[in-house]
Amino acid sequence: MTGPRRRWWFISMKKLGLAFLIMAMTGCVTTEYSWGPYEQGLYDYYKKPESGNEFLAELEVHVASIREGGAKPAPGLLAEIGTLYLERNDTQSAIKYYEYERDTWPESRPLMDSLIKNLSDNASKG
Amino acid sequence: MKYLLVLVALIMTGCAAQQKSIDWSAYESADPKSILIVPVVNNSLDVDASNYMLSTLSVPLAESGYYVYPVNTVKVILEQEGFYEAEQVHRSDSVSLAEMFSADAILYVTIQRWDAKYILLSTSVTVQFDYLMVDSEGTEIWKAEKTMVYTPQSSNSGNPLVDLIAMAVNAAMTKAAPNYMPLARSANQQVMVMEKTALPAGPYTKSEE
Repeated sequence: MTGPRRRWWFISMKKLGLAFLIMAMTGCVTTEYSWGPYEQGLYDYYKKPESGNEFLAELEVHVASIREGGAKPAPGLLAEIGTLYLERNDTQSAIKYYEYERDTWPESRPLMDSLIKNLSDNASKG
Repeated sequence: MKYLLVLVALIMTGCAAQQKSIDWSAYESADPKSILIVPVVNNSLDVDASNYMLSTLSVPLAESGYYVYPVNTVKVILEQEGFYEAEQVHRSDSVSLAEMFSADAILYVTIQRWDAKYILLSTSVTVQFDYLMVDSEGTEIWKAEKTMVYTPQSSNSGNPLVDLIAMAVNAAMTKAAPNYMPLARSANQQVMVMEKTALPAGPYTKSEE
């Protein structure tokens, strides 16, 4: 009886050690948000602006999966998608994502409201 | 078991925030909930460094519990307002900048160094940053600076010729494509999360939700 038990204990200690190691390597903090492709994608976008379409598509898939899971996308992610759409002249999608950001993060409300207002005004003029 | 203890000790010494000799009164009275990260001023010779650095700042601040304005959106808005250079943004009035975005605080980051030096058989990569946060009245509430240097470890195979070749290859590779990003990220992590300048937890932290 004691043989298998001890072995089980040994394996779990190993796993625990591995978990600690992973925690230490990943910066030892549990993260508040799932950032997905954001940080690396933004770097790539600045390095190669032609990667913008890919960045937009990846971010959109990422926030969709977070929203389906009922969690809040990280601060700013939804607005960044809006801006990438705006740069591709898709004003309607830009407004949609600025609204998502505004409704997710109260701090963003004044800025998002003025962006949405400007875009709607321009759209109705055009 | 022993290596587990070593790991735990490493983690504890690596992550403990040491709060000492820093005057937090201005920060506490400002009590920022939202932080505007403006484009980064670049005093290095690498023209791309400013944008690259900008991409690393949102995550550590948001993970500390703050609402962080979308950095690329902010950059695009500022450009549309005629602020094409980060220097212009840093020189402009903080109060009206904070008002424009309704931000509680503004983070200004300046790159002092972002370079790779090739010295015979080793290459050392250095980044150096100044961080300054002001509240919506323009009062300085937080300040930090960080220098990070990376020099590839010399290998030791016991064969001096093999080692020399390995070092030369290593140095050449580092020089051809120096990887600044892990250094930049760890500089941010150290000043914002780990060291005595670590920011107090913002309103969006797990413990408060």
